Amino acid sequence: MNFFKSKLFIVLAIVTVIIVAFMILSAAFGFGTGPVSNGLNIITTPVQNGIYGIGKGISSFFEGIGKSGQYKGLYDESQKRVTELEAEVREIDTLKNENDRLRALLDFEEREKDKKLVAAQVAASSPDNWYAEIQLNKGTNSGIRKDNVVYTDNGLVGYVTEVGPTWCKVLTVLDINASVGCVVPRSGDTAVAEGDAELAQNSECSMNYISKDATVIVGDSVETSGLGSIYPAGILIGKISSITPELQGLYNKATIKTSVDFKSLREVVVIVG
Amino acid sequence: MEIFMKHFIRAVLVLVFLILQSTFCQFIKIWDIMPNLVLAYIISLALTSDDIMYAGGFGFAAGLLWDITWGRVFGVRTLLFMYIAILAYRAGEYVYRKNISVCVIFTLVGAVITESIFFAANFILTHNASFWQSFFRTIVPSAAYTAAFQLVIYNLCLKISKMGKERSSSV
Repeated sequence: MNFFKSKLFIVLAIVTVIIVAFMILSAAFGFGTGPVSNGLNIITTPVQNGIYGIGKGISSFFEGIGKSGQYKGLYDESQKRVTELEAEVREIDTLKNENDRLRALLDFEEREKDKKLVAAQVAASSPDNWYAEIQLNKGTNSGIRKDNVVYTDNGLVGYVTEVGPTWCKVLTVLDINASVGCVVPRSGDTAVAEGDAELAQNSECSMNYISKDATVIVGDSVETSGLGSIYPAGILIGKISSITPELQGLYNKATIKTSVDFKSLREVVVIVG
Repeated sequence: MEIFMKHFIRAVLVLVFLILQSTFCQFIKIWDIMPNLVLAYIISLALTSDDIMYAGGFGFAAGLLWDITWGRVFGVRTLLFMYIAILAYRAGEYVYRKNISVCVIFTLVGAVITESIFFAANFILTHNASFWQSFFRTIVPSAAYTAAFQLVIYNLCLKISKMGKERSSSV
């Protein structure tokens, strides 16, 4: 039977034409949050949040087991002594971490006291290897709107691109479509931080359009510059980890190691007003 | 009733694998690469189903769900998953489909094709991205990781495909 006269070919041709038409329309005019997308996300977000929380717990547990292995050598020498020391060190570590966390939280609250903030949790992440998008478990019911900025006490996470009643999607600074106006406070040099799929694997993004006259050095802190309509000035993005001088172009390039650890990201804050 | 349950379980599994893709898969990344459980399921389903339209329909539905929940440009995954399911079914007619190694090889090839087309359609023109760098660093490792998951997913699909058949054959 001729394939081009078969029922399968006709169905495939019709479906392909319809989907390609939708593809062109969504590429040209954007692909907003429709009722189907909204309904699906309302149903799936609590399930995703639960699974994500369990996954984080399990991975933290195994990380803990991995860390305890480093005490094994000392354990052989003096079992009792080391056990006592371990307990002591753990207690001190716990107190130190708690102290650091509370101090950071106090600083953070003091710094952000004029802003209206909503705390949220990461419920899911982009299901493919190309994008760095996350989904949060709060939405319009908590006052979150499109273009709201998301960050933690460590620095910038991204901004809200889609929002439903109980969920929202956040385009992180690591995403290939992300673009943030940035400044190096030490020297005052400005540039644009942009996501890069390859760099994102190491929690890094690229810093482009650095003037040839700029005096940036490795280790410099990079903050949002406030240029553009989304990000306010002064939110830490990260530190410059490498600089690539361009011999022929007008600008130099650099790489920023983000201050937020996206691999262990769970709690975030959304600026809603 | 058992036939209805078979179709129902297959449909629910599409959603389950999509949820696992955006949650569970984040924690089993190796060198920051995760497998594509939805694609693995679609290929397994195509190789264990008896109708090409049915296989293509499930590919279409899985891609549509992906596009609705996480897509940037509507329809890319919908078309890709539909065609990959149809290709897997067609290719499966020329080999012994019940052999798991056939399924693993099909998945490896299918995942490389799907991700390469997705990358080309989304990044080469708009982001001036290097195809070969991403091909060896992301696409091939991800395809291999996806194929490894077929050892579990294919057996699950095989068990589901037998639902309703044992009873009808014994009558």
